[in-house]
Amino acid sequence: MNKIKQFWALLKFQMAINLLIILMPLIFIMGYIPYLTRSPGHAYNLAYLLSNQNIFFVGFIAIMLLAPEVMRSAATSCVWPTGTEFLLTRAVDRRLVFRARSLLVYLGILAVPVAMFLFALKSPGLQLAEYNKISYRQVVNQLAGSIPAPAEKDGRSEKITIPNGNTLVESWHIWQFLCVAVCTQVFVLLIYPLKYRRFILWGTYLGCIFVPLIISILSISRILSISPHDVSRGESLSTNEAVFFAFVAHQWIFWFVTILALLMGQLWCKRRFARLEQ
Amino acid sequence: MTNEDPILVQNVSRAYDGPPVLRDLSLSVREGSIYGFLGRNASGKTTTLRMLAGLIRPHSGEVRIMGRDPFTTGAEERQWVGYMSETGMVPAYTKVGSVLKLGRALYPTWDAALADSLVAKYDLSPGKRFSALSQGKQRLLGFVMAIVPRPKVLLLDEPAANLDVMARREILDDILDLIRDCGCTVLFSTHILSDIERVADEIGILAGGNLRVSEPLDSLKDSIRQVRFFGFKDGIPGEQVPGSFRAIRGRDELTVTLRINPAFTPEDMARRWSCQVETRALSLEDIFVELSLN
Amino acid sequence: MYYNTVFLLNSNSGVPLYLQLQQQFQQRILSGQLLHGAQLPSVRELSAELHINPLTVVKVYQNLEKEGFVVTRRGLGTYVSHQSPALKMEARRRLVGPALDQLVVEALHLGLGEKEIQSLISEKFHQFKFQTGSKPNDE
Repeated sequence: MNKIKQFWALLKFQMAINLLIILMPLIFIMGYIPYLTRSPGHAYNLAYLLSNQNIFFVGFIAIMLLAPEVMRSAATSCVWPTGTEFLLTRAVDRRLVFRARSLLVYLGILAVPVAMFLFALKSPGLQLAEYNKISYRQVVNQLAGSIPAPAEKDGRSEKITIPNGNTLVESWHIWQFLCVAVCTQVFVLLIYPLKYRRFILWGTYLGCIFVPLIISILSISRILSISPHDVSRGESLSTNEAVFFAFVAHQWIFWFVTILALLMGQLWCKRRFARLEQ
Repeated sequence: MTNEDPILVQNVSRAYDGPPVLRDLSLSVREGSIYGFLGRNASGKTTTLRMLAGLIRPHSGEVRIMGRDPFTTGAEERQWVGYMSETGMVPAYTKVGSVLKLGRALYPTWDAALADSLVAKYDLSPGKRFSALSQGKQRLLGFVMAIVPRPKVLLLDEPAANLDVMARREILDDILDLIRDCGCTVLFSTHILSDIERVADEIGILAGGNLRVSEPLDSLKDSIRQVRFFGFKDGIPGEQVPGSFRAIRGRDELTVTLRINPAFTPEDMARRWSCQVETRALSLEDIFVELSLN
Repeated sequence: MYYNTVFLLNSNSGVPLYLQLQQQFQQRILSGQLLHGAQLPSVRELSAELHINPLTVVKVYQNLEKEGFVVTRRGLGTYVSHQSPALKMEARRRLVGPALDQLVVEALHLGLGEKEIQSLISEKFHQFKFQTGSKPNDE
């Protein structure tokens, strides 16, 4: 049995049955439209740039391509089958099925962020308007080559120019997506054999959406309550920004650990997938 | 039961949440045989078939297809097993052609000529989406995918469900052709008993998590009879008729469904009771109903 | 086609399929419809024709051979053999056996005596002979 031939056949088949899911990353593009269409002088807040609503789709796509049964009840799977049972009763190595699905997950999830990274390489310069005192200081200190722009007349906004800011931000997004994808894969295969897997999955997913939302709503209200004369009093960093600065400071370590986690995760997931009862 | 039987189930038990669906079930199917698996809904037929297909595992006991555990076999061994499930196969908007293409790529033994002829016979146009097919045609596609690779073992879960009379005859013929050509071993579960009578040489009736009956169809039909005792001189006797599994007592007659014991026939019984006796042979459906009512 | 007869099998009957087919073969052989030396269809052909399991046909042919109706020549096929008159008589008696059992049991239940049944049988013979204008086949 030619494994390579089987792998390609599986890949093509998975693409055929998951066409909508694979086209979903196009939704990622929409999140970038304001960013892509900004005017040259426009400056963004770092916290805004670092947060990415598309994270929610990353988790969703990872689940739908790897183990869609976890989202459904047994009754729904009878009426609207996912194709997993069909594939696992054909003459295939189950680990090959996992590899094909996993490859599609990462291709689908990383296509847009990688494209944005390449796009950023062309125009790496980033101009930030930093409201947050601590964040401002961190940017200037941590991000190599960042220069404060001349202060404005009203003294309220402080602009910083960062020469490789765009590439840093886009590589951060790639890293974020990778982390979410790996965690989702491991999580979904972990809960696969449980009876209440559907509820655990949706509970966790919705929790991941709403809990940070609530937190950020609270922090926005804190930001808005600052009077313009309190600029000396520093605000704390958002979690995203804190992790981002750590990421920038120790990029090689971050990437090394993540790639390691990815490889080990894939190994574990592959074995787990091969021994799952349907 | 030998180790060479292509399909082997030994002392298998399995529960979902709650009472066990299968209790210490054992069955084996000889090579080249067609085994008809009967049972009411939720009797455990699908559970057994899914175990044989390698989708789930028994909680105790073991299951063997061609000597190996179907849950852990690799691609090489799986190519000899064809499985047709009771429920749907692929997502709604998958094209029939994609499914067939996958089969061609995965199976070295894929018989392209047979695939073409079956696709034409069952009218499964490759360009159509799966959801655009009627339920019957969807099942026929599942059947095609199971049978075209010329498997040595064929596991069919309700192959004739949702099919009209002609289509049912056609797939039974296709199964028989496969047997004639390749000596394949078949295990199929069904509700439609007339199909079993035409095609199966051995049958098993699953009830209460176990096999009530597992024997050649001919011997089953030869040995089970419905017997009516009447004309009692002194009222109906209270004793049990040996070998019976269902008895209906009327006012002055006793109707019993029993397995004939050549050493002590109903006529002998009638002589002992000094009454008259009338014997009737039963169709498989009648036998099934009688067993299930008990 | 090696034969010009049709076999009718009823899968809902209490009689197993193999027995139905076997009896129908015996009837055709005894009635002369399948003559001595005629070749029976192959197992494959007949099972495909009747949409039944080939093993059933194999069983029927084996039983027919055991009873002396046919003979199988390896590689050549199965042929109707010559049956002795005694064998034929015995086989014929056996074939009407079940019908007779039913008749006698029914008669006993309904309280009809032997003489009444015999006169009823004579009437029937008369009726059929008159209708078909044929004589029963005897050798």
